[in-house]
Amino acid sequence: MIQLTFIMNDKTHIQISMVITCVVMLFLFIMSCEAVESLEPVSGAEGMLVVSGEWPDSVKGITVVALSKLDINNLAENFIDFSDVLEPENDTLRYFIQLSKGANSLVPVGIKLEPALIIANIDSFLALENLPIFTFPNPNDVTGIVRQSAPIGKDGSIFPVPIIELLFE
Amino acid sequence: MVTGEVTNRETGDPLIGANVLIKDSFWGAATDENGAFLISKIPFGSYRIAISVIGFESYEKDLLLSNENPTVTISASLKRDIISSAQIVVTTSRSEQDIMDLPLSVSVVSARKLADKNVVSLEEILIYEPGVTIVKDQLNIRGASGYTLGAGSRSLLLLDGLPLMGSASGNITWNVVPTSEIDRVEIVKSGGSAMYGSGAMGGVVNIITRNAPDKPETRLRVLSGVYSHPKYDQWHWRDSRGFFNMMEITRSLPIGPHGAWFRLQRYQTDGYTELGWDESWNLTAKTKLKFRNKYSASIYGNFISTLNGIESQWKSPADPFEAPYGSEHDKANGTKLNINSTLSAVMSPYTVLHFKSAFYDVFWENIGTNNDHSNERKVYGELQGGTKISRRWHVTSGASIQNATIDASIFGTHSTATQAIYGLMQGKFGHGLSTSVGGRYELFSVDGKKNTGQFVPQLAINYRPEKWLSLRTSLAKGFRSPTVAELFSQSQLNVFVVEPNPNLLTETSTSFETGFTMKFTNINPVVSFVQIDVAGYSSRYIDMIEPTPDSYGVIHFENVTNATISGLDAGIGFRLFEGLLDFQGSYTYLNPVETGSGDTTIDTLSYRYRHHITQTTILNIYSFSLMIDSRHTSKMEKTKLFDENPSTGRDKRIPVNVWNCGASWEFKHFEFRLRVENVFQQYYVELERNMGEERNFQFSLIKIF
Repeated sequence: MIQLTFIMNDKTHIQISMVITCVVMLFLFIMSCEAVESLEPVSGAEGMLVVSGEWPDSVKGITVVALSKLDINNLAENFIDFSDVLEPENDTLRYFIQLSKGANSLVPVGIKLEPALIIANIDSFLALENLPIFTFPNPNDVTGIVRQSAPIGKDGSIFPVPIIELLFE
Repeated sequence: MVTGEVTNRETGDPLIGANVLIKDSFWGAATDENGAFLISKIPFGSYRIAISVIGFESYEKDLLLSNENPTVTISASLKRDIISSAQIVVTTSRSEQDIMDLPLSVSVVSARKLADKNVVSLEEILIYEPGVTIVKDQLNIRGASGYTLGAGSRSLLLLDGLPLMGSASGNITWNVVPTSEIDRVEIVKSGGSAMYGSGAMGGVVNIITRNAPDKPETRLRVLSGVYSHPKYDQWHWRDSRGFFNMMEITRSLPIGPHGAWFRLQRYQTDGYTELGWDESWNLTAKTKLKFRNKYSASIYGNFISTLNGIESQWKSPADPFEAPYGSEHDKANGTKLNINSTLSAVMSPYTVLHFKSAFYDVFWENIGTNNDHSNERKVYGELQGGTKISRRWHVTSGASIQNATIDASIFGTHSTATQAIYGLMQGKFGHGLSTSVGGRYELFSVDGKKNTGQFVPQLAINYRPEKWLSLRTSLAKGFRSPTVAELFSQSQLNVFVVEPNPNLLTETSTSFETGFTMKFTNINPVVSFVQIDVAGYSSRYIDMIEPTPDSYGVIHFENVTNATISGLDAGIGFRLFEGLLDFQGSYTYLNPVETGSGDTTIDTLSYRYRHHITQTTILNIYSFSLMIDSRHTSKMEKTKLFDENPSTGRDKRIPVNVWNCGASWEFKHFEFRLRVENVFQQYYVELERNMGEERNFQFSLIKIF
């Protein structure tokens, strides 16, 4: 068994201690610089949805859906994400949809069921390819701008979407 | 009679206010301004004396009082010691115990550690303790609570042994804790229901406030800080930087054998988010009265008035520091009053009685997009006795009652009542073996409707085969009655509706733990102290209450889940070169799973971290200290409200890696402290859509008059 004996004065203690501390701190610092992953600015589309007129009873909310391809007959297939939901007691929604770099399309849609129900079950609806939503314009319900493209040029960029206005007659 | 003096080994100065105890009895004293103490009227016999004072190594010595030797004089010269100090704890058994004799896992935060980290709010330091995490103000010990929308906690917060939480939600208001007046914080990580009842099934945090020193003192503490601008231009949201300031003044007065302190604190922060602003006035006072060495009384009072922004979630991931549209002016104001008192009577050297009481009055109202309000009152009373019934056995028992009324816009008007009795027998046998057996029976009622009573037993064993080694194991039942918030909340959370569920049942748990502590001192000239603590644990929950969105997206609190949370805690602390370098590190592994009836794993429980690592390194050069500390958690695997969208990166969660550093200098009666938090400006989310704290720089000055 080897036993080491240290004979040191206070000055030696301090020097050795400082060296050890500096090495430990430097090691931790370098490890941290290398390893820390952090959230960064995101890219996406932001805009405003304005609805006027009297909402039909069948419409429980309106949201803006982001699609990878503008094919309103295959919403589920091209579905990327949707914005917060505008509920009937409000008339304006400022929204932001996080999107990856590339071409995207935005479509305002009416929601046939309670918004929370769709959010809670979105994966099931998508799996069934049967989203309980409908697109505008419906000649009986709405007029105005209904579709926008939202090209995201680079990561971290925000595409400002012109105001989408819907009018229930 | 035992007399003596206690001094600082390095300076020779007397140590004032050191605790001197005859072990296994209620005889004790505190040292006076000369470091002297006297304990009289002790019958002849063999005893062991223990002396402890925060920031110094503890001292123990056997002594014999006899006809030939009726007076023993002790001269204790204590070495400064930050890591191994605070070795006496009271929470696990409601009586003083050496930390090496404990049958449960406990970690202790000393006053020195609180000061070193410039803490204003207690949660800032708890997240650096092994096994403790906090999700949006919600305390988690070994992942017990997760995040329950602030409506219920499985970990109990005590102040001097009395419950500090509001009874309606069981939630913690951290800013009522007087961090600069804390003697120590004891964190019991094993289930504590057998001693403390509902709410303690996932552990206990007990804040022990200090008593007044033996000489008059005025302490002024000023803290000022500034938040960095966000690292990315896209996230800039204000022209000026956010500042925070705290000023407090504490006056301590000894009046004969009695003592009192009063503290007034003003705190103001702009916050690092748009609605993170906060301002408060906080008045705290404590008085300790002593009569004829037999009776003592302690009265503690705290009043806080607050005005703050209401943060629920960010505006969007593109503007994570800003408030959602329309809620920029949402704010809340409130007041909280808390009065605690404890009367103690030493009936004989082996018997003591305590009568404890507490009163709470909590009011808050929201102003803005929602105008919720709440007014709650709670009274608590407890009678506790402790006696040594034989050479080996010590018994602690008591009874408590609690009544609360609440009138809140989101709960309605309700009342709750709790009655409980408890008992704990602690036995000490030969060869370092000790055991504790106990239990608690508690009745809980809401609006006069009684729930089934709960009996929760506990069995724990400690074995010290060597002075440096302590082995422990425990088995305990736990329970938690649903809170008023879980039973009756009716509110809106984003598009989700929260609806009441008055049929909730009490949840129960069975916890097993086994572990060891090794402590070595003065090993060689290089290593002067090493402490290693390892524990493995498993808690099985039945009828766990969780907020659960149903298929309609409506959230109820339901007894939907059986769950098992198992894991491992490992901590190491060491000191090199007589205290020139101190290190503390910890690792916690959790496996939190929801289980089916046959113990089959269904899913991971939400809002828990699987891995949690902390470290604190301090270099002490005479009166200078340099510190680096950090905490690391693995990515939170599951949340409740907003899932990640892998294709766009929405609601992305990442591991948390926060580094802080600081320096302090003590000069005569001044203390200067500098600290930088989140040095590398890591951006992370713990609760969905709530950004973690921005980097900030802070400076504090303490002057003692």
